[in-house]
Amino acid sequence: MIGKAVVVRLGRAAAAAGPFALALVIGAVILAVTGYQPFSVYRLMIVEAFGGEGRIAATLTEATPLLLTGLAAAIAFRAGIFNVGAEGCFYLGGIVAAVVGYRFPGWPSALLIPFALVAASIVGGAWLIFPGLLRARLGVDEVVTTLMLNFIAIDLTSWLVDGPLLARGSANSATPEIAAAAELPRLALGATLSLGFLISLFLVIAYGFWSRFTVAGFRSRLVGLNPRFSRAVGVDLPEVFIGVMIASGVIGGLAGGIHTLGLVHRFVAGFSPGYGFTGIAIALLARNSAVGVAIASILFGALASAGANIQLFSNVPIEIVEILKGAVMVFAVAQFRFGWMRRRSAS
Amino acid sequence: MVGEAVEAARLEPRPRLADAPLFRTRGLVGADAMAFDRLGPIDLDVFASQIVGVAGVGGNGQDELVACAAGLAVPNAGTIAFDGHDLTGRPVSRFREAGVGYVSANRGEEGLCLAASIHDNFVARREHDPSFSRLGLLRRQAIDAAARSALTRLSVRFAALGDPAASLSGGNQQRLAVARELEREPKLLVAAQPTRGVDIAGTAFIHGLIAAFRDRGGAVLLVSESLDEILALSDRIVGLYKGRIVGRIGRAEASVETIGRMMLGQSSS
Repeated sequence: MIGKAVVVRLGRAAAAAGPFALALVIGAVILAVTGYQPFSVYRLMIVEAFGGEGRIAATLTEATPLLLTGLAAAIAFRAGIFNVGAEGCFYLGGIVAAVVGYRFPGWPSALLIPFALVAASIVGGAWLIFPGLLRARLGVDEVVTTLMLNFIAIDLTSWLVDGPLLARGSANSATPEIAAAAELPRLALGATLSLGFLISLFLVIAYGFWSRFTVAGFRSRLVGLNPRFSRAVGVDLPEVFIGVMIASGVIGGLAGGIHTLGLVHRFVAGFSPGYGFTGIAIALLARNSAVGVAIASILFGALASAGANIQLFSNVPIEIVEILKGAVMVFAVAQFRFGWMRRRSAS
Repeated sequence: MVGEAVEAARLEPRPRLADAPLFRTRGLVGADAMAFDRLGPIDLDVFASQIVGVAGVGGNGQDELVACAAGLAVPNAGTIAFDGHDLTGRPVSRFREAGVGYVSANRGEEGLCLAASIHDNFVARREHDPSFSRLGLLRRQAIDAAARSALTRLSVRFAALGDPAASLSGGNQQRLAVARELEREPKLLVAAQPTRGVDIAGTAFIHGLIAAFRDRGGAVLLVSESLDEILALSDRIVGLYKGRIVGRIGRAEASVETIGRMMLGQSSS
């Protein structure tokens, strides 16, 4: 029995690692065809992502928003809700935290930071109540509504920073800088790594605990696995749907707030390079597990932090990183499963 | 399935114990997924300590009757009363709390969650029960102990409680589904095709469970396309034909022929 459990675990790990391995193969072919040495490029990327304290700190900085957007997606996917709205929540949370951060410069950090992050979370959660209600009460497809709400959130925030919230004297579409008291403390490890990383990591761990050991975690997984069964045994599906949608929005908003307070220190148009969407790939790769979200976020963070540097040092175009990311996402969605796993679940 | 005695003997008929029915429908009309009225209007009573068998060829309104009785569908017209309370249009959770148990005819998609583990299937929707969780935290050991003892009692063969329910054989899956519902100690069990696709030993075992539930004072609404099952278990039999009740007979009058006639829409009385 123990042997079987180990085999199952190994199988899951292989299934999760598969998309990465295949993406690396495809990337290697492209590099070779375009006249680069794939292995030396990959080695350089590993060195740039993990070689030394400063580089590890940069990788973890890149991983910070992904931990939370991956978590936001995972918590919804686990309950069978394909919420793709974390990107919009990220923008809204980011702008709310920025406004709180510069409007209350006299406040001490101990009040200002929690206030800004809670406000960002509340706005993120509130943003997804509407698609949650539509899904729960009227059966409206949440993929469509949350996707569309992303555009509304992105355009709404860029209008705000072009008009009412534009920093005085600034030509860029950006809010004023937040007060120094609102900045998340930096960790000693590196220049940019902030307390936000630890908060994010803590939340991913808390999610792992929640999904395994709590009544709500149990119930939402059951709904994700088989909504019809769940309804027949008396689980209130609308309650679960709306609940995970709000939780997902709260985490997405918090991610944006942490990004503002920890790294950018203001809100600018084009605040997120698609963190919300990368989070979807992370949740899919991770099969919604907490450990998987943590590992996949760090790997995507490594790709992002290495990407900028390899162009500087090896002449390899930065697009190779985008190709790798895209390939991982495609294969992640393809959901690798081995023959014996498929047989089990089909019977 | 070896080593278990196969008992196919008919149950003795029991007298009605209660004066008022536990489950009562009046003018019940049920529609299918296409909003087409397939059932009713029907008036049906089920008393405590009684098994009412609904005989009929598939597609004559059984699915709609089961869905309404289990609270999964809202009737188009008419009322459903349970234990003196009107439950018409109430959510499934209200039916469950009132004491309705449900064995689905669709084991793979509704009766069980095949992808979830055996103990998770066992405890589903009772996880908030104080014996299985405290302050929102699951008591895994208590869940495992309860699942293990119930499944052992019901001679369900399994390798590990953490294995997916899909790893069980069909008969053992159905035992698990029935066990889960009976462990909740409902007042009424809505049993739809409870032994479809189950081996002989498993069928006898599940029949024994249902009969024992009846003997403890439980009411059963048994919907089956199997004449043998209807004959073996029912205290009263109603025939369902084109959504209407075409006959009501007691066990004494029941035979393959009388039930067969009801299933074909011929009134028996």
